[in-house]
Amino acid sequence: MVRLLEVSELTVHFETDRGEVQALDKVNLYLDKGEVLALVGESGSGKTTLGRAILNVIPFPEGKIIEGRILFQGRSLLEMQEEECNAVIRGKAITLIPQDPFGSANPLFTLGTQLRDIFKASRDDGREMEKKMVGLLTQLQLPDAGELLCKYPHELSGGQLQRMMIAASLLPAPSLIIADEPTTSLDVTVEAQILYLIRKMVKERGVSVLFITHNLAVASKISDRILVMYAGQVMESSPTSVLFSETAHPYARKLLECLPNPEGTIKDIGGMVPNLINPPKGCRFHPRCEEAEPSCVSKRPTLIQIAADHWVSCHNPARKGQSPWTERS
Amino acid sequence: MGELPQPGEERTESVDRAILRTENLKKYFPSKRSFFGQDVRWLKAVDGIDLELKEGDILGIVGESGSGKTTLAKLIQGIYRPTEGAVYFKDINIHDLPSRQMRGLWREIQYVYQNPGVSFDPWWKVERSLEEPLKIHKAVSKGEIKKRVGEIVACVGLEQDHIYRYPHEFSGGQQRRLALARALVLRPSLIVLDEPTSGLDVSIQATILKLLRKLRNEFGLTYIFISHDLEVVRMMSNKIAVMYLGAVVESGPTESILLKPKHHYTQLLLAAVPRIRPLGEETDVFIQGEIPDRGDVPSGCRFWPRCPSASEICSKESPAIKILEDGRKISCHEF
Repeated sequence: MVRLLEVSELTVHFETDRGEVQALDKVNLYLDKGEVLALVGESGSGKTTLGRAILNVIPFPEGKIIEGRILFQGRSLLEMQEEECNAVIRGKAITLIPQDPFGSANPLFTLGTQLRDIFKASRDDGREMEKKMVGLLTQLQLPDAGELLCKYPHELSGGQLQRMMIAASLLPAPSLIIADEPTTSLDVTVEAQILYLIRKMVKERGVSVLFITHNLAVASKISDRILVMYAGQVMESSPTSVLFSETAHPYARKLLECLPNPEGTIKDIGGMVPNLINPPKGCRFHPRCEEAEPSCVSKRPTLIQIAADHWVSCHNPARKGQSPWTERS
Repeated sequence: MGELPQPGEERTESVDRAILRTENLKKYFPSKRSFFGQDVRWLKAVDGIDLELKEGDILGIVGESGSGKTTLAKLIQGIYRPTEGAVYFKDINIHDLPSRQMRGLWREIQYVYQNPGVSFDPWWKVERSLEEPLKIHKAVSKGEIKKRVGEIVACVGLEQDHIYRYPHEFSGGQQRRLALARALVLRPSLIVLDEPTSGLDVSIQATILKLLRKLRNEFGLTYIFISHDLEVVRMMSNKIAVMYLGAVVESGPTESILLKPKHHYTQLLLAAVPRIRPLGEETDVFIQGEIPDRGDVPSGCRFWPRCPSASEICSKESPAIKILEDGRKISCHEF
């Protein structure tokens, strides 16, 4: 496997009127070529901030990257000049599928105009790109592509427009796509189609995807590996099947228990997501953790490897076979 | 909906009494007018729906966006007037009532909006929003308004001093609690919940579902639970109605519908729900295409253009509703 992206010890803070929000705290992750990594966590866990930090588009001046390194294809993105980053990285080697397609497409221009802008910027041969574009749309199950390209965003359904967004993200032939909750606003039936298409594109084109979602079931369907985040910290990182069969972190286990289950028992985590201006000392999950010990309050756990590719940030991770999911089924 | 009354069974029994019944309920919106202002095309948002709810039931209404779930809910609350058919609440046809009495009915039927963040007045403190329904309906004497609001706020799990805040100061989960509190201050008997957990994190979704169950037991409520999330509906409801393009294609007890879906649409809808996939198993069975434009409902069975096993008859004749042995109603030519 070729390592495509490596993020190490990434810490991002936001300056606000009420204090400094510690949005990301020493986040580590890696992504190989042709791999789908799902970033799972509740709102406010820092998923989107992480995606933005990789593109180095953290809002300025309130947001700042305190420390850390982002290596993409062996180059450090944070040290790259702004012009160079615009020329070769943003929208070129790394593209984005947005969460809300209607909020992201320009309502004043037809989709054709907007898609053509992408390859105008890359100064490739127009006619060839046009052919490529129509081919791509057909691949994405948008049959009458020619007609759709003359339409404005509001004339399309949510599913069609999200497919357009996927097309836009694929056109520059990127190596990495950051998909920020791309199916949250869609119906389950359309969601299933979109997930299938993303998976298909990954297989055919060997592109890597960083898939941000709060839905564990969606993550399990699309990803090769899952990274569970909580309050700006990585809690657990493992191959997808392992996360569900050998869940190690108490938070990840709690999260699995929250999912609706056939028996109809409802469990919740209890407590609230902490305020990141004053995050809990030590492990940020300890106030809500049933297994918390004094050491969890005093010392921040680091990511430790407990099996091949399986990393946990917890002082006493569960032993194998304690997954709520396997117990249930 | 569901079971027919057994012969000799008293319909007036308090436990078994139908609280809500709809008969061939239809709502068409004009979508195009001719030059002389006559309506020439109709958008059939709700097209012939029969439902029956008993006291204490939780009816889950599921379907894709555009299937008419919200229009149905608004008909039931009396916000829309039906084009045809009737809604009976405790055996009273609500659309026959004079408007003054209709307003009185809203004490009994409450609607919880899909997006509580925007259904509260941003300029009002929550206290005022929660007291307003009590004042309008003169439900309790003036001196007791504060007491009632305090009770309900505690019931939905908010702090007493939360009512002096503005709606934007609450998180998504808290806003849902507020919306529930506003619905509950009038002590209704039926609550229509329009997508009560959409857009929430799983952990917050779980707390809201728990709260809904608790409130139902405490206040003896009947819910109509509109959702596109079949997993949530499975947990919450005892009856399900699956809607497609304005009509109910399959309905009946939750267990039988979700464990053994018989209508092809229900089957495909269930297959599309993302589940934690067992090791290595990958299925790519899903429904093709998208829900058609409602101004242009296909002839015959409305699902046939997307149905995997549509035959010739499906495009010509619309299937009648049949009642199967396990109490489910289905509208498909195969049965």
